[in-house]
Amino acid sequence: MEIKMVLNGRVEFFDVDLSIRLIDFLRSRGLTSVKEGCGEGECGACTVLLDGKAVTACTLFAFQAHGHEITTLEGLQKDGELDVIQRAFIENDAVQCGFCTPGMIMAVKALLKENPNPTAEDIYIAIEGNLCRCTGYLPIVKAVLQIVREGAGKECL
Amino acid sequence: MPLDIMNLMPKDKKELIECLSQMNEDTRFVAGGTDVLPSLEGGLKKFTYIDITHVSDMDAIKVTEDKVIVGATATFSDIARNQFIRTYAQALSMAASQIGSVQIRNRATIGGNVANASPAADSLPALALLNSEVEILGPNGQSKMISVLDVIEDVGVSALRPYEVIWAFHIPIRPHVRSAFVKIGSRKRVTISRLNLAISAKFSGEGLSDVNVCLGTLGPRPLLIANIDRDFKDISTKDFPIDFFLNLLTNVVDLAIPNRPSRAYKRTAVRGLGIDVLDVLFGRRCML
Repeated sequence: MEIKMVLNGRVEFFDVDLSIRLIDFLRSRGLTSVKEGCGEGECGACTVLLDGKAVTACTLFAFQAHGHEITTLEGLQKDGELDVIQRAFIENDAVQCGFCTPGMIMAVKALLKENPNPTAEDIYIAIEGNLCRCTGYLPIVKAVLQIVREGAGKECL
Repeated sequence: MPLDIMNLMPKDKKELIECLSQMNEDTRFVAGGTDVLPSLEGGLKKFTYIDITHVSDMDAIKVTEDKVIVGATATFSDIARNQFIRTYAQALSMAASQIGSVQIRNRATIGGNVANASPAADSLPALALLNSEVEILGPNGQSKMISVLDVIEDVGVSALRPYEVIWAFHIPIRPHVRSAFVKIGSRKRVTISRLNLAISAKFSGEGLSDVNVCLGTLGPRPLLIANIDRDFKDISTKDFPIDFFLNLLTNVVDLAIPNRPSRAYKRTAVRGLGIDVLDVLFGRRCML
């Protein structure tokens, strides 16, 4: 089936198998930031943005992306520059093994697009669907609060 | 008969009705996908799925003079933040805001949650408490209305026929009635309910009446207990008979699951939920 979507900012047409999941489709296109953890929407490692909202790519068929805008971590860089969230994660040591990091960053991206000045509680709710077994979450929340403190959340709007 | 490829994503009610007339044992509907895809476990080629999330107006949330109408493909994010629902169906708003994670709430739909017929579904006790009716669309374009409890036949089995789809939920507006919903699971957030509890009451000044409760997870359908206040009419919130209420909840658990191993846990846990839900209903704790 031919579908049309905006993938990381570019209008694209794809011929997709009706039975393939969005996560498998994206990874087959080389977008390997989209990680498979649980495969049932519990861990958030495959979080991408669908029309700016965080969703788990393992719980959608690829054909369901027809007519929508999909953004993966690969779509965040502009002109070779890291996104403000990526920079904050690096500066705050919010990455250890790194497996959850792309999904975590996309969940934060969705939050900041909607609310550039979240509280710590807002941040915890935004990442409640993203499991991290290394950091204990504190450096992740610290990274996002740094973005808020520096007024850089507006860059995500 | 194979489905027309164009019908895999109907765009409006007319195209959806065309799909209904072509449904067979190899076809299924999918909306948010949050229940469908995890249930497939690698068997992705089993059915042909028809995506109903493009159907215009099927996700609308509207209010009329006497009811709130929630479209079947409204997501739990839409429902949790909708002002009509926060005003007239607080228990549903609270249930929606506690389902899964942000990612799940952004995709999971109320129609899917009901059609999936899970005993742990959080929308069901809230909808049943609020006397909701379900508008079901058939292959000739005709609609029928049934009680939300009648949609559930058994664990994981809905009364929907393959050629039917939930179009909307109709929730009556009851003046001066407030409601609340609480749940408990194995962790604080992003958890499947081990128990959930909804309550509604009519408030007039300091007094309250028409107290109804609905408990989920104790069987295929939520258990609705109407007018628990029949013996203490028009009492004030501060005189609410808490011990009577908590004992009633424990008795419901004992009667519903007399032989289930989880009875010992649930008959105690429900008392904590009872205290929580009264705190929310009486405004001592904010959940909206």
